[in-house]
Amino acid sequence: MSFDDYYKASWVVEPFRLFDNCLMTDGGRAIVITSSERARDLRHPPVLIAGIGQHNPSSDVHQATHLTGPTGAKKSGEMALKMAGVTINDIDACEIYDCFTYTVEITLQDYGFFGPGEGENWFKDGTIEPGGRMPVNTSGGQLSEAYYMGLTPLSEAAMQLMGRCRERQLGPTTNTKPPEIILCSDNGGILQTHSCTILRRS
Amino acid sequence: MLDYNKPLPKVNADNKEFWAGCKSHELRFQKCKGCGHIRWPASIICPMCYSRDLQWIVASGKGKVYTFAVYHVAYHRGFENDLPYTVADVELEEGPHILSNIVGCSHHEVRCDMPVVLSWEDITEEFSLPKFRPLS
Repeated sequence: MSFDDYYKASWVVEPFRLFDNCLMTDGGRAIVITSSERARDLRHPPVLIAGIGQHNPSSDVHQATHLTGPTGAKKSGEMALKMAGVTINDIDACEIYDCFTYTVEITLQDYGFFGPGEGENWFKDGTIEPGGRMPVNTSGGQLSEAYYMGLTPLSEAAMQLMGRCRERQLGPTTNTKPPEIILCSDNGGILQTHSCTILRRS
Repeated sequence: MLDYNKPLPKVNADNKEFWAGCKSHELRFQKCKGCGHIRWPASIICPMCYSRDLQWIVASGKGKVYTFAVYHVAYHRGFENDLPYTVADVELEEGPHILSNIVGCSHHEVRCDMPVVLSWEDITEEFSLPKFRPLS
């Protein structure tokens, strides 16, 4: 998609044009969760759930005062990082729940990757691309791959840490550091519920 | 008025005072007698302190745009002729936010924090809708 392709697409609900909205997908996706001890005997290398955090600023959307942040991502992210015993600087890639383009920006802002209003500069120069300093949504996410709700981010993070992503695999194939820790987000409602999960290579 | 083809409000025990107020062009809200919290939507219990003791107040009708979106697609046939139209979350002086439309100006002119004031739209014999226009 080129810059022109994006701007030539029609408005849906302004400020969102067609490509600001996620796909609609029929299908399914699953992740098998078991004990780390049991996982050692399985065929694929396991991935560890290192930290989780949830926060729900669950007011009715028309009473919400958090739409420009901090959303539930702030406290969720802090909880998950604390449980995992890591900081934001240890994250190698992010798989963000991208129901709309804006959700990616506000979520990364609330996790602390940049300050309020600094998103435009942070995203410039390929920051989130393969080979960028913080790859985001390496499968294309819900905007470009498939909409499986929270499982689009989680399954991609697990597959990346297992090394099963072939041509989009983070590491030498895409000129990045092989990932050790990937942060995933999930949203519900209209920024009313938030879940953050940090996965780690075993 | 007779050819109004958009969905009509559904009146229930909680909101009938609100819609009765609209009919006489008064924007009424519940104020908790326990903690003073002014709430919307109407309900039997205060979401802040759980008191059931309440009074109805009449809002000034002044507020500002907290956020807004411009619809370029009609998700109901009744809105097809209105496109593009503005849906805004208006922060009232009294505190509550209310979802409504900004009327009386182009959608290009709407901005966050823009001061707005009530503008009643009489849609049927029974119902008037509280909409907002720029405070000029």
